[in-house]
Amino acid sequence: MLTCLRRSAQKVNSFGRRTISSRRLVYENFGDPAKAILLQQYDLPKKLENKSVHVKWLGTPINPADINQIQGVYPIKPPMPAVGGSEGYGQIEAIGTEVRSLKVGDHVIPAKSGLGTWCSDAYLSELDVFKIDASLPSTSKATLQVNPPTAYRMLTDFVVLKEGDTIIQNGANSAVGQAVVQICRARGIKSVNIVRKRETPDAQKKLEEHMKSLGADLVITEEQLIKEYRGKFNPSLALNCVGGRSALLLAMALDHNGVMVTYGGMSKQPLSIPTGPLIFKDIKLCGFWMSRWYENKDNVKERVMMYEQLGEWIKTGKFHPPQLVARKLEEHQLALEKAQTDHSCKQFFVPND
Amino acid sequence: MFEYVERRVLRFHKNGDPREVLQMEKEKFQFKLEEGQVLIRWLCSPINPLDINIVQGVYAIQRELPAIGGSEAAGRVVKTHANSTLKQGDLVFPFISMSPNCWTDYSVANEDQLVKVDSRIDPLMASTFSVNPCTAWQMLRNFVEMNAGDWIIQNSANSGVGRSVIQLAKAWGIHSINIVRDRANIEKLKIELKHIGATHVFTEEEFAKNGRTFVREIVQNTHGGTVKLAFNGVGGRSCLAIAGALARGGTLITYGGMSKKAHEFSTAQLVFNDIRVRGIANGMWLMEGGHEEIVERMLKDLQELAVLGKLTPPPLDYHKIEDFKIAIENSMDGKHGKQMFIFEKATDSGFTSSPTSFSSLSPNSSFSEFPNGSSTSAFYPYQPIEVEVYAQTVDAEPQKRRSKRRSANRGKYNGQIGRPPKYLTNLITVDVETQMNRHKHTDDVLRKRRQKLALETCRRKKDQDIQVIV
Repeated sequence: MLTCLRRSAQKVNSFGRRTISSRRLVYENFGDPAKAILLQQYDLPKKLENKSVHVKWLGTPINPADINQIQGVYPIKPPMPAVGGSEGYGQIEAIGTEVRSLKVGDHVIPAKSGLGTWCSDAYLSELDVFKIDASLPSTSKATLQVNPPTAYRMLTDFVVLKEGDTIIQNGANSAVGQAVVQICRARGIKSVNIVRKRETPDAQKKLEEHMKSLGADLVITEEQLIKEYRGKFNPSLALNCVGGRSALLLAMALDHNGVMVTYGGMSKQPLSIPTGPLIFKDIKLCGFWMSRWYENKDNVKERVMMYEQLGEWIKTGKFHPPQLVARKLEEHQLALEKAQTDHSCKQFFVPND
Repeated sequence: MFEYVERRVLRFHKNGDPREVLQMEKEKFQFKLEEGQVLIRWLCSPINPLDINIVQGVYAIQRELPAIGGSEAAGRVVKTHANSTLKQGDLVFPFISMSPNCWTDYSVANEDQLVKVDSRIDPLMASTFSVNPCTAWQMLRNFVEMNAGDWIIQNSANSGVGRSVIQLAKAWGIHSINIVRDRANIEKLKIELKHIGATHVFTEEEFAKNGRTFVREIVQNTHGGTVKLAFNGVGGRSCLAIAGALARGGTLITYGGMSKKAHEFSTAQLVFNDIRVRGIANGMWLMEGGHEEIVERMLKDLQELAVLGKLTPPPLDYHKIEDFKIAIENSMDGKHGKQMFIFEKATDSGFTSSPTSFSSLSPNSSFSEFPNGSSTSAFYPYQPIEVEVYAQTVDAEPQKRRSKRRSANRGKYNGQIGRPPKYLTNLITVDVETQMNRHKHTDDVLRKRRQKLALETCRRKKDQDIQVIV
C-alpha cells in the first residue's frame, strides 16, 4: 500500500488507457501549515493536451513565502483547493503533440510563482515551465528560481556596480543575503553585511566565519555599524529585508544618489527613513519582487542569460546552494513544522523518492 | 572706485536660536561693482523654514559667519556694471545662489544668479518664487509623466509648497487630494484650499478613516483615474497614509519633514505595490547645475501662470525689518502663515539721513583705509535713485481696485495675521456646498478681472515703478 502511494502508479483503467496517479500536498483553507496541508492522491487527466507537458517533480523546497501563502497572509491568494509550493525542479516525462520548446528528459523549473510544486507529477502548459541546464547539481536546480535570482537582479537592475564598489545589506544571513554575498564575491564587489547580534560571542563568531567563508568582506552588527563604522564606506546600493530602524541605518550609510532596495520586512515594522538622506543625499527607495519580474514577458531573454551566469558560478564552485534536508511528501507535517522553527537549513521535498 | 549706500541688515554673528542671534545693524555698505554684478534694492523678502535652519546652523549648507539672513526676495536693479544684461528698474529675484543675503535694503549680486521677472508679476509673488513654486513644479513635472485627469495626493497641503502644488495641479488639469492637520477653523481652511484649486481636502483623521474607500470609489470607479504621485512634507505615519493611496508603481516624493519624525514606509507597499520613494531639495538641485533647459522651462511656465493669476503667494503677514523679532517668532511657532519683510521706504524707518541715497565719501572719512582714496575719481558722486516699493505704487489710481482686494487678501501691513479674503469671511456662515459653487463663480470672475488688470497695468507700470528723486 505504501509503495503504491509513494510511487506514482501507472495503471490501466477500464477503457484500457493509461492513467497516471499523482500525489500532492494540498490545502483547502488558510491556516497553520502543519495542520492545513494534506497529502492527497489523484489521477491526472487521461489525455495530455497538445501544448502541455508531463512534469515529474524531483525536488521542491519549502520557502517562507510558501508558509505565508498557506497562512493566507501573502498578497497572492490561490483558488482553493491549492497545491502548496512555488519552487522546485522537475523532468519532462512526456510532451504534447504541439510542444516544440521542450523535449522528454529536459529539466525544468516553474516559469512563474504559485504553480504548486509539492506534487509528484503534473500536467502543465509548455509556457508554465522554464528549461534549465540539467547538468547542475540537484540541490542547486531545486533552489534556482527564487533566492539566487532575487540577489542577482537586485545587484544588477538598480545601480551599475563595478568591481571594487561596495554594497551594504541587512539580514545578511537570510537565504537571499547569502546569495548576495556569493554573487558579490563572484563579481568582485565588496559586501558589508549586517546581522543581528547573537546570544553568545561563540555563536556570533561562528556566524561571522560562515558568512566570510561565503565571501563576505565585513560582517557586523547594527551596534558596530553605529559605533565603529559610521561613514567608513559609501555604498551606492543597500539591500533591506528587515525594515524599521535597521532600514534607517542603511539609509544613513548610503552614498549620494544611492538606492535602497527592499525585498522583505522581517521586523514587521515599517521602514523608518530620516529626512536628511532622502532630500539632501537624494537617495531612492524601491522594492523588488521576483514574481513581478518573472511575470514581465520582456525579461525572458534576460532570464536565460541570468541562469547561464548563475549556472557557471555554480559549476565553478563560486555559488553554493543552501543546506537542504530532504523529506518525503509523507513527512510533510514534520517538514512544515521544521521550516517554521529551524532556520539553519531548508526543508526540501523529494516527491518521487 | 568704491561707492556707498546706507542700509539696514539682519545679521547673525554665530549660529543659534534666530530670536537671539539675529540682530539688526545699520551700516554704510561699501561696494564696487565688478563685471557681471549689479546693485539691488530689495523690496520684500519672506522668512522660510530654510532661513531659520540656516541661522540655527542645522541646514546642510552653512554660511560663513557673520552672515546676513534670508534666501528669497524680490528687488529692483538700481545700478549695473557697464556691460550688464540687466538694466535699472528690472524686477529680479535671486536664484541658485545660497547666499543672496537679502534681509537687507541693498546688496550686490551676480547677474547670473538673478532671474529677471516679467514686469507684470507683483513683487510679493516674485519674492516667493524660487523655493515653493519651483519645488512644486519639479515634483509635478520632473519625476513622472502627468497628464490632465491624473491624480496626486499630498500631506501638508496648507504649506507653501502644498499651496503651489494645488495651484499648479489645477492649472494643468490634475486632480489633487489634500491632507491637512485638523484645527479649529478647519472648514474655513478647506474652503480656502478648494478656492485655490484643491479637488478634495481631508484632515489626517478623515483620511485615515475614509481614504481607502475614497480612492477606490471616487478616484478609481467614478473618475477611472489613478493616484500616480504623492508629495510628503510631514513624515512619520502621515507618510504611510499617503503612500497607501498610490496606485501600483506610483512615486512618493519627500520634500520636507515637518513632524521631525522619520518617514515611515511599509514593506508591502514597496515590494508588492512597487512604490518608489524619492526626495527633493530644490536648492541643492539647482546648485548642482546642468539642468539649464529644465530650469528655463520651469521659470517660463511659472511666470506665465503668475501673470495669469493662477499662481499666487500664500497668505502673508507683513513686517518692517525692525519688527524682525515678531516675524521670526511667528515664523517659528508654526501657527502663522508666511512672514514677509517689506523693506519700506527708508524715510519711514527712523534713519536720520536718507538711507536710500548713495552718499559719496571724502577720502578723509572713516573709510579712508580703502585703497585708491584719491580725490579725483575714486569716489564719484552717484546720483541717488529712489525705487518705489510695491506698497507705494499701488496707490496709483488705475490700480486702486486691485490694491484694495490685495490688502483684504493678505492682511494688514504691520505684523498682523492675514485676514482671509473678504468674500470668504462673508461666506463662512453659508453651508459648505453652496459656498463651493459660489466660489467657482467668484474664482472665474476674479481671474478674468485679474488678467484684464494685469494686462492694463503692465503697460503703465514700467514708467511708474521707478521714480527718480534728485
